Amino acid sequence: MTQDAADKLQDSLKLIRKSFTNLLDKRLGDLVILRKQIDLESECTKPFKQIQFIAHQIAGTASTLGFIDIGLVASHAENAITQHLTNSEPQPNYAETIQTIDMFLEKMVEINLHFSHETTISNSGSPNL
Amino acid sequence: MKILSVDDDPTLLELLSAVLASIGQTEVTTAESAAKAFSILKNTTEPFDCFLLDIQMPDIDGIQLCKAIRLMPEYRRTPILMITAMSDKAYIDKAFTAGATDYISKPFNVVELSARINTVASLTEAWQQNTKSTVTTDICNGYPNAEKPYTLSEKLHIDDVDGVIDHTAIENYVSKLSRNMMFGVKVLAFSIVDIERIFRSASAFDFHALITDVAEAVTYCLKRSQFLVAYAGNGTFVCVIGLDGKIPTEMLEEELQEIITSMDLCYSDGRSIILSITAGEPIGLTFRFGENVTKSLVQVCKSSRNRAENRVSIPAKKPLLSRGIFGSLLG
Repeated sequence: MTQDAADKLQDSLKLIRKSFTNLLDKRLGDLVILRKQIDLESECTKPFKQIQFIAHQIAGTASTLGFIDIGLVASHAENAITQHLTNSEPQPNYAETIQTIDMFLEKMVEINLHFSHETTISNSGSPNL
Repeated sequence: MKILSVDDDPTLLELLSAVLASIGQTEVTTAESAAKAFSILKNTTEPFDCFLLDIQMPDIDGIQLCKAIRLMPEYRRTPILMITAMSDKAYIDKAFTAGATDYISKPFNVVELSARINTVASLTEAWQQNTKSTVTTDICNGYPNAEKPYTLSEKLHIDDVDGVIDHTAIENYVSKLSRNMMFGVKVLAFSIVDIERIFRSASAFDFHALITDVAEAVTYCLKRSQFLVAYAGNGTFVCVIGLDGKIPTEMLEEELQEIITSMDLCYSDGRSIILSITAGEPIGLTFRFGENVTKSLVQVCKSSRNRAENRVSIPAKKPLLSRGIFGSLLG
């Protein structure tokens, strides 16, 4: 890859990081609603699957864009829900699955707050979370 | 290179397009679902040269999409790279069985992705230049005599046999198996005895049809196991067999011979084809790493070919009339 191409790629990645962080707010909103549904409803398969799907999407790109921590917790949440839904071994208990999802949500809140704050101050985001 | 990239995550599509652009691949079309991909494929005038498909998508997943693309005649040999966050071997096996050429794990490293796309670009260019690689039974129809558009060593592409994939794909498959996934997996090859004589006496169409029939027999013989098979040229089939493939090789060889005999194969002019089959020494992949894994594919083929060359072709036993395994299989 030429230096020029590498520079262009870095510029593109900056923009993609920006659109990734912009999406976080919407995704967090969806996750909070789905998490409440798990507490309130007796049949939780649907919200579990939707959380799994959002976690899957975040896990797929976060690390590549430099958001390693959120990528890892999203991946843990996705795996825990997969195991929970497929009854595979070792079977995590319900409380452990919920705990993993909550850790994912907490990280999402933390990052979202960071970027909301950073956008207000300077409009530039750090990918090193 | 014209690329179609399909993923339900818009961020990933943006990311792929940026990485592709950085290595000079700017003809990239994106689709956020399999349904949109179908619509693009239907309306495109110039075919795509490469596909990047996410495995996990809602509604129609990447594996189903891959299968559907392979059914389109213009995309029988087009490289399809699956993008997956799945570490489960079953998903990867399904992707290769559906016709995938290779896969990339998510989250991916930008440098690694660039390198893989560059490899695919060179492969695509080589395939486009070498029309022999796209030999199909339809093309072979144009060669009624012993003249052929391919050589005996050509790793012919075999269509429509479940579990049979291209040789490049099987190389990619074994080279990417993690240590965990390799546990209990073994590679094995079967060879047709006296293949040079058969090649000389068959037309291009008949030889291709014969290889397809034997591939079908091999898959039928391995049906109790998880497997992938590829034609390695020179009348040899290389197989990757899963954990449950514990049947002794001699027994597999004998069974395969019986299946082939019961098929009563013949050339299109009515002459019978009497085939003998040998199996080489299998190799377990459990403790193999790096290059040794792909080398094992070469080793099993060599072992099987050596056995075939040392065996004098003998008329095969008459089929067991009461069994008719393959007759009933083919309906």
